[in-house]
Amino acid sequence: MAKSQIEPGVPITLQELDPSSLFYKEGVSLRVTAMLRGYSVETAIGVIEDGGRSLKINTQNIRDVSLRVGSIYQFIGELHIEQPNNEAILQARTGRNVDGIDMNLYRKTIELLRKFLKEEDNSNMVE
Amino acid sequence: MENATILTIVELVHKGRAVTGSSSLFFSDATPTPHSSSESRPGAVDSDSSRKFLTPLNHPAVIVGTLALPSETLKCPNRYCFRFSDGDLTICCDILRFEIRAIGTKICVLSWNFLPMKHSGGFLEIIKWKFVDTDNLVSRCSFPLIPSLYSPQNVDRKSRYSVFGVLESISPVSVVPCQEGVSSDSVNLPGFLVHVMACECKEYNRDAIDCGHAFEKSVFVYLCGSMAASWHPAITKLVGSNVAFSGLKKKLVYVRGDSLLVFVTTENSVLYPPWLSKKQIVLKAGVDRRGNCGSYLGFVRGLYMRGKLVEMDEDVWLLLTDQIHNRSHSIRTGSLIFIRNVHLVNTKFSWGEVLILGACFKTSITVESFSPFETSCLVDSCRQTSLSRFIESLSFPARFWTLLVRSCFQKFDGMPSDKEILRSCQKDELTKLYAESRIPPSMFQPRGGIFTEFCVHESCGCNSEAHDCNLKLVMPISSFVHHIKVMLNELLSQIKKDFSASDFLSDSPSTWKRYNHTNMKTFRSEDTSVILLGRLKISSSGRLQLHDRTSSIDVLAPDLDINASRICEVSDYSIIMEGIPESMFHMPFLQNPLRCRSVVNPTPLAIENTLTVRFSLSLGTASCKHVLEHHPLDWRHDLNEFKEGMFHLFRVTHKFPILRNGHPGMPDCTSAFIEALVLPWELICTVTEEDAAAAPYFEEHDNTSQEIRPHKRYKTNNELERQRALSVPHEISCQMTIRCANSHCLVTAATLSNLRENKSGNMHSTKRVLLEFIPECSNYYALQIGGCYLMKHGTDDSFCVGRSGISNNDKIGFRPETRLWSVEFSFDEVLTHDGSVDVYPLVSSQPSLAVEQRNDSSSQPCSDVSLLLPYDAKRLFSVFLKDLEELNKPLAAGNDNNNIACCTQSEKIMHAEPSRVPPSNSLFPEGNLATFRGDIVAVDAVTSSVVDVSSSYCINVLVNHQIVKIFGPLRRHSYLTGFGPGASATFYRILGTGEENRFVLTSASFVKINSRKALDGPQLEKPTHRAALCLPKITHQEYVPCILAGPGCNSFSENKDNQQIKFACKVLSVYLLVLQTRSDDSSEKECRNNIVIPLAGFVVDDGSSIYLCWTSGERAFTILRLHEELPEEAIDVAQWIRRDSSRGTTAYHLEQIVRVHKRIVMKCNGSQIDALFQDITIAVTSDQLLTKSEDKFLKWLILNAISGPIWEVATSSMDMKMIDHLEREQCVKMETSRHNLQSVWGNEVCQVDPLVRAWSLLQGLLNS
Repeated sequence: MAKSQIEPGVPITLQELDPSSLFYKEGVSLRVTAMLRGYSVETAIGVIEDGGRSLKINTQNIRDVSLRVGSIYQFIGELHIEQPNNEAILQARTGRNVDGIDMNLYRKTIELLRKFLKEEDNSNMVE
Repeated sequence: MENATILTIVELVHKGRAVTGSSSLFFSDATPTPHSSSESRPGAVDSDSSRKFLTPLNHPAVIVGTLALPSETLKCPNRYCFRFSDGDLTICCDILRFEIRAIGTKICVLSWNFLPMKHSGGFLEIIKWKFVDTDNLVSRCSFPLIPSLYSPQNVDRKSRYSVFGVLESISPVSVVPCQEGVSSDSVNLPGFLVHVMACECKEYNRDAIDCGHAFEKSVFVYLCGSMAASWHPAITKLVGSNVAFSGLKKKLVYVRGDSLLVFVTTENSVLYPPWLSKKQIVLKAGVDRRGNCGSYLGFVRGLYMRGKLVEMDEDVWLLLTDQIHNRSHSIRTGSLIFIRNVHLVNTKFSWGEVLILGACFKTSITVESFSPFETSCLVDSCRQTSLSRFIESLSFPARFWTLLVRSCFQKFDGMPSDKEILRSCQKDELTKLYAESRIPPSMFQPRGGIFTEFCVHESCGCNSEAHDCNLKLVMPISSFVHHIKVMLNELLSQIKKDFSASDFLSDSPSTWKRYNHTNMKTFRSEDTSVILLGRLKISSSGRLQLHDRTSSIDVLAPDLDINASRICEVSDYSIIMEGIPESMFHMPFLQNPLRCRSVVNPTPLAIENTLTVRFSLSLGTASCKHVLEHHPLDWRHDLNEFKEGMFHLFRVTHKFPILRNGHPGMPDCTSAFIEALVLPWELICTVTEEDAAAAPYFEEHDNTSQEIRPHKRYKTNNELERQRALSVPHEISCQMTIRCANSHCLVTAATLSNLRENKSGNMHSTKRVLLEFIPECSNYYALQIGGCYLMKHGTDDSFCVGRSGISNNDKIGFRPETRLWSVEFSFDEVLTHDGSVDVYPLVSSQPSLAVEQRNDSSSQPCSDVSLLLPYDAKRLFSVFLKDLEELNKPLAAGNDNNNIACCTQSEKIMHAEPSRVPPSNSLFPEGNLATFRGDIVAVDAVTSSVVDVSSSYCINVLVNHQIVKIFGPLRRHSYLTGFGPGASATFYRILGTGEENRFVLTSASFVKINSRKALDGPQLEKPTHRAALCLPKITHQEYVPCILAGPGCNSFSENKDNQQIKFACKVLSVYLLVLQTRSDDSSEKECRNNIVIPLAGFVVDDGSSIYLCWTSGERAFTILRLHEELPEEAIDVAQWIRRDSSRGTTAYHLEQIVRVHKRIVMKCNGSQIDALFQDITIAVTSDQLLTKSEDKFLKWLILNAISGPIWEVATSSMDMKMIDHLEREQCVKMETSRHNLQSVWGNEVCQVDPLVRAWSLLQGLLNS
């Protein structure tokens, strides 16, 4: 790891993870939630997909999570941009199965959380 | 006495007033004290103050005249009445303290009642009397039955027999046709039988009375001839005393093949009056029961149904149904009567127990004390109707029930006349038809003649009575309403009592109001066992009501055929009470026994209604039947309709609401429209006459559709294969089950034939048409969206008349007389495989019911016709029968995954797409139509305009955990009965607004109320499934265990304004649990469980802190998940054999253990946080040790509670005093201080759906 301090994983939706976004940077800590579309045992790389967007997950550091295609998982890890074609892959440091999650609700809570944190920040600054 | 004036009968009759008079007493006008009848106890008769006492004469008066036996000269409908004559006029009379000597002699009536009567001027009740001339009386100790030939010397050898003994019983006068003398004309000879327990000694010796006579021989004497028959009233008075007859002849009578010796009176017969013997002084007890028959002494409280039904005491009813009875006029309301030889039939009806006094031919009634009230006299109606004949053929409980039904039909008098019914059959006829359809065959009994039943009484049908009777009470509506009101009021007073003692910890009265509009309690018809008869109408306020002459009641029934002229029978319903206080909500309703009095005499007492509780009936499936449809001719007629008929098949896809006048932007339109798909198939049916005649009779509600199908094959495999080869076969054989009049089923073969277009090819496609119903056409209400229907094909039927074929968008007018049958399809596998028959309906004709009705009744087939098709046809027909929502689905299925990700197709909800709808320039709102089902959460008034539709209301509907808002003018929809929060409704074709989860009701939208939520009530078998809806059930006893009338009560009063805190939590562990068996109080026995949990302590975590939550009763039940089904692995199967679902619950198994050990106290001594390593001690009060499996089960109970869902608990804090009190009360050491946890008392518990909670939280946050 390049960074000495591990940052908390910022919850985002896959839709927000396009190359123009703030989060699309090397080494950013993220928390992503989406359905596992594919998984290769040899490479330990899985693909999650949500709302038409997908993201590769490197699961080599994950233990005790059985990965099943079609289930919904949440991963926390650092984003790694593979240079030649600017493709992102999340180096997952932990993950869990979150089957049964209401994705609509989850997206809304993310928005709400951000709004809350922002207000919190603002009020902190005023003080 | 000396001053008494002598009244003549002419004077009395002329005045025509009911009066009472006496020789000695003087009544001043100022203080009209009631009356002189010495023995009567008016207080015991009736508390009804409305009853009027007889007016006393204001001067002493006597009447002098002659008492005489009945004769032909006096025309009285009762025929065998005493006469009283003062020379000028003769009237009917009855007499107390009767002596035979008084007959034919002049008597002075000292104290009397006079009642005017139509037919003979009046009726005299002689209370006190004396002989005018006492000198001639001594010699008279024998009375010839035929006085004109009084010559005892002239003894015929044949008539030498005499009988003496105790007169046991007397029959009514009956008429025997016989030939008299030389003339061949047959003469109707009246006569009656008496039964005497006689002494076998040959000579009647008056002096040797008390020495050694043994009255053991049963003897019958027939008093024959009109002269002898006139002795009937006199001899009736002698029943129970000693009599003697002489001058009798012997005759052999054949009764049921056996010969019986009967003594018959002759011209020389003499009657000897009773003499006093020691044995004879019989005390007239209230009820004297000897075997099946007995005697009864009591006051008459009411006469109903022309005197056929006599109310005696509470729940004691005398039946005088036999036409032949000769009853005295003096059986009036208020009189004390003594009934001898009456059948005492204790009958358990489903609504309560009734003692029926069934009068038979042996029964005799004497009036012991005349009524002091001015009540009408009993007058026999000689008219014998078919109903009275029918009633006579029934057993006593059935007779009683039929009379109650008759009195209910009486309540339909004076209503908008139903010509159909009034013309063809009278109310009697209606009663008869209805009763015939309801009374099981076992309750009919063959009747013998009067001779048979009198002489061989024990062997005749009178003897075998059904004592349990599952006939349901038929009630007039006002009585029913009154009954509910009484029940509510009693409950309220109960609550008031409880509240005064327990304001703490229970709901404060302010919460009543807050939830008033949603608080509903329901109980089902099974609990009341009442059938209502009435007509349906729509009241001026737009509510559907069931009414009879007495009252009306609101009815919730979606899409019912409202034919205001027909009488409906409502048997399956729920009573919904809205707006009851929340605390009332948890209380079991006190089951008041229903009084039959309220049926025959529906004059409700004024009830002070302190509550504004609205109640209504919610009708169950097929619960509302037209009474006349039970007519046996009806079903045959029904089957005839199917005879060699061809039927159109169509499916209703949408119903357009009826547009009331004044709908904005719409012309006045009186027709109603239904959109339907006409299937390209025609049903050809071949019911033969023999089939119709042989249609078997099935018990009502019998689930017959599967059992009765003869599994015959109607196609060979070859044929089928040939059919399969074709893409669409021309004909499909099927089996048709026709249900008519709900008791008769007929299975027959039928053919489905494909309709051809222009003779060239198959008509592959269905045609979408618009059916128009004129207002008189009630079919509109009967048709259900999604249902399939049959209509008979004819030259002038609506589908064929005036057109060569049906094409899309045709408008087809329906006439009122058009008959439709609902049809359902099922597909049989036996025709293709050799396996067992596997019948399953693809679609029910009433899909809404099949889907939504979760109660038992939904399992019954509810369509008129079911078709069983070969399995191969399934593929073909599923096209037509697929989900209606699919058919109605607009094309705009969104590709926007983002938006519909959470809604699978099965959720039947479509979101109008937010971005795609372009801003429209059109005058009309645009959007996609949707159809979905949901629970109405709230209806708010709003004033906004959504998509150009001015909306006055916003309906919040919960659809799959999402709140959907529906806006609309709602003018029409708000009048739907049952519409409102708590209703489950289907919204058809509502318009998407472009915003997510927002819709608009249009004038084409149809709202159907499927059901109302039952929030509470015994029908909830698994409360946890509905835990989110149902509040905890607290019986009044367990409000809070600490509430006592003791000093401790006051110490809590400071907590009155204690705030309730609601939090969601999970159970971490069970700290303390006290289980015990329920007390033996009978009032609680009907509760489901016999376990009570007086105290339970749970360690709960709300995410931020840990509490010790104490609670009791149902709340503890809920948290322990006792109502849930026991998982397989939790029990040792060998030991706890599960048989049915009710036994599968945890509560059931726990009950087994608690029953053995009486009281179990489980306590956890270890860590509170980690449940798995708890040190649990279990103490029991019984002597028995806990078995290993019991121990295991109890520990599993704790684990089961811990693995429960998230609960929402409303709590209030507990102080030390309360904890102390609880400890003392339950004799347990709670040791709350040991763990440093805050103790709270859980008032309410309900399960939380985390998703619903999350969404509501989110909404709250977004709005804030």
